[in-house]
Amino acid sequence: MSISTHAPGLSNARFYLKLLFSLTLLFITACKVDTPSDRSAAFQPEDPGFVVVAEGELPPLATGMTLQSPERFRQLIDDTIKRGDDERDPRFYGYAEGMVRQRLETHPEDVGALLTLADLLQKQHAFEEATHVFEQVIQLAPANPQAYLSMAMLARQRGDFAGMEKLCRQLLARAGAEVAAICIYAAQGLQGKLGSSYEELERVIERPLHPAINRWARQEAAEMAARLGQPDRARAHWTAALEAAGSSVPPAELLVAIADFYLLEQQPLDVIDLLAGETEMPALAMRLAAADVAVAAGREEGDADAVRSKWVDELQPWLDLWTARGEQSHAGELAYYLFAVRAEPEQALEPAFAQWSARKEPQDTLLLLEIISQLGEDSDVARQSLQSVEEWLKQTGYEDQRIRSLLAVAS
Amino acid sequence: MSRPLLMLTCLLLGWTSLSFAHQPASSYILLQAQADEAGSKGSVLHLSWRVHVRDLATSVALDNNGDGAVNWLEVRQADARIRRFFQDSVRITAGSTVCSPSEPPPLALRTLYDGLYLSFDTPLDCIIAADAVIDVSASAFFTSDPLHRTIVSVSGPGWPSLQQVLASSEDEAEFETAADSATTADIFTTFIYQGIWHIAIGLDHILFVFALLLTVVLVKEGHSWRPARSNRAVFLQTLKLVTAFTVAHSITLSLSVLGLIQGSAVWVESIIALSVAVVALNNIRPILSDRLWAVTFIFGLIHGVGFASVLLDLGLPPEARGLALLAFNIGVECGQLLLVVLVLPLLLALRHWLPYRRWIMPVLSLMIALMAVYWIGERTGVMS
Repeated sequence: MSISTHAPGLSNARFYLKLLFSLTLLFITACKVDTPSDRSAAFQPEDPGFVVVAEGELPPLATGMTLQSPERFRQLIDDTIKRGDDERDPRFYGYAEGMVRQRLETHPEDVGALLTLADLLQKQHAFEEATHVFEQVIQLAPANPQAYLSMAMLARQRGDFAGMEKLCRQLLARAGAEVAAICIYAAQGLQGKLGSSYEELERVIERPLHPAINRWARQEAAEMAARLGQPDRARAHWTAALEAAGSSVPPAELLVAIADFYLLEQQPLDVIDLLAGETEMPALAMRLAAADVAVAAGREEGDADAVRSKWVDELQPWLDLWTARGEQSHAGELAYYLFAVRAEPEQALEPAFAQWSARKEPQDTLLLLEIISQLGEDSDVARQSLQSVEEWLKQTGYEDQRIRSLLAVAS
Repeated sequence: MSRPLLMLTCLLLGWTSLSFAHQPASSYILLQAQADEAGSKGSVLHLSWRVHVRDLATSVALDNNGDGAVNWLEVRQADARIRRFFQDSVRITAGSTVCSPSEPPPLALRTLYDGLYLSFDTPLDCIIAADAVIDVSASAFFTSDPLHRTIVSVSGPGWPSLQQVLASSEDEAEFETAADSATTADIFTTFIYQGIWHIAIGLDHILFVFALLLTVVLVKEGHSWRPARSNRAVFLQTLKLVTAFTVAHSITLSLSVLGLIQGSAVWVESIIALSVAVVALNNIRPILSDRLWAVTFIFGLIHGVGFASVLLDLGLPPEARGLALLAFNIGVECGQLLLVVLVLPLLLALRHWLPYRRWIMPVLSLMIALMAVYWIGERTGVMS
């Protein structure tokens, strides 16, 4: 066989020599040189001043503060939790819990420390342990309203609305009239008296309230208005709740609730405005992703898939890390991710039902019903889940126009 | 490997970064058994302990000058304290033997998915028998951060993938490393399969061979291609190229696996991409036609180092290193031959068709070259 082309001006021998020389050099370089592009490779900085932890990033206890003074302790814990809230960084909740538990080892009856511990446990969805700590607080300080209020909120999360109302009534003698009233109307609004409770709550809101109480009242009122099918009034309350947060970083739970409201109202652009830059916390990032996908879907076909795929690439490592850490408390986020971001309702159903079984916030019930209504009659698991939700609704008298619409589609 | 475990590996190797950086704290204890070079029947355990420097600062005083930050000098000054903390809080035993670092390892840093980690990499002074039980306990950080998790992963030749999570509630884990008493036949078939699988998923290797095959049925004549006259000539040329590639990558695969040469992943992967580009561009404007086998041989040497990195990641059974190497190589050859068998008849049939020579072959070659250029950019970091 003849393969004819020759490199012009080069004899075969010279060509081979040059080729072998240059490629061998390349090969040797490849085998010898290690490059810093190998990101995970271990390295020792040559510069002793190389910054390993930047200023302000050290955990609070590492800065040399001690836990001797209760005031300093309380301040340190509060600052650490606030940093976790502001930076959406769960690492700080861990550090704060470590400090609280150390404090409780030497001062097991410190009510403030116990309340903080219970709040931190609630953030981790460790509801049973949190309830146990609140009960301890009530035994130690029966007049303390915080424990009753927090336990009322826990009862609501579990779907025990009658129990919630009982705990709210305990506040009448222990907290301000407004706090007790907001709590009671919120509880009654979940048990078949939605319209009247909403009107009463609006009257409470007209009074001058502490900004934190005002924010809570507005949040409750917004939820009630949304359940009544009055989106304009709900929107006004949400806006007021955000304003009540003032210049501080709005709580993530508030943003999640508002984003869910906008998404149900088919207003994804508002979610993108609301959550711009909020990519540090899974629940928020997932709402942002869902809004981004919804906006892209409204533009042209094909675009939404590219956007979806970009978000999946961003969010999936997070879920994988949870799995690697053996974390069990992210069923709600997993369900939301699978349904709203990955568009996989079949896979989303199981974690959504697990989340709803453990916690019955409006967003949990709505997500489960949205998934069921997409899956339709063909899925046995969906039909069984729907039956459970319908029984619970009947039992509690829970009212929600949005749920009614979804039920109509689902059944 | 399960996806979460694979993903975790990617995170630990720095191949993936989380755009959303805030995570609860995790530290890592990675134990890898490697064949004992001293020739005993067991394996030596290598430890890599990785801990975020911020988390370490909750347990070991690092900020010596009190400026609220930590620099590398302060880490080095805390060397003894860090080692003591490690000794006090991490315990690894194999059977009844306590495993300790066999030499004081230098402290180093690694950039992982959520920041800088202190890395403590060292061989341990215990020999692991084939059916050893490894116990790991780690109490570090659970007091200062109850949300902290220590992820322990144990790997070894022929062992199942083992991973457990330690937390404040359960700070001990037991790993039964008993290999599935793999027979010689099991090892042979496993590594043949891995060789074939690596070719099947290694698009760069496939495209290199495919680009070579595109013109193996043609002969350069002036500025245009003409079909090769006989099938025999085509088979001979294919044999020449495939043999050059096979011999070359077998050499470097063996040398790498035996530890005689070591390649930097970034460079090797980049040159593999370059090799694809060179062969594809040579199809469009041939300058190497009658020396293509020599170029194939040289590039084959680099592909061999690439194959070796896969094989080393799989872990070679200490009792059957040679067999596994041979089987993996045979697997690679099988994958390669399968490609030739699938593609060559089609190309033989197409070689007389003018549009193939004028359009299809050059366009396919150009697409391959563009893909390879993209890989070069990606692998050298130019495009990141």
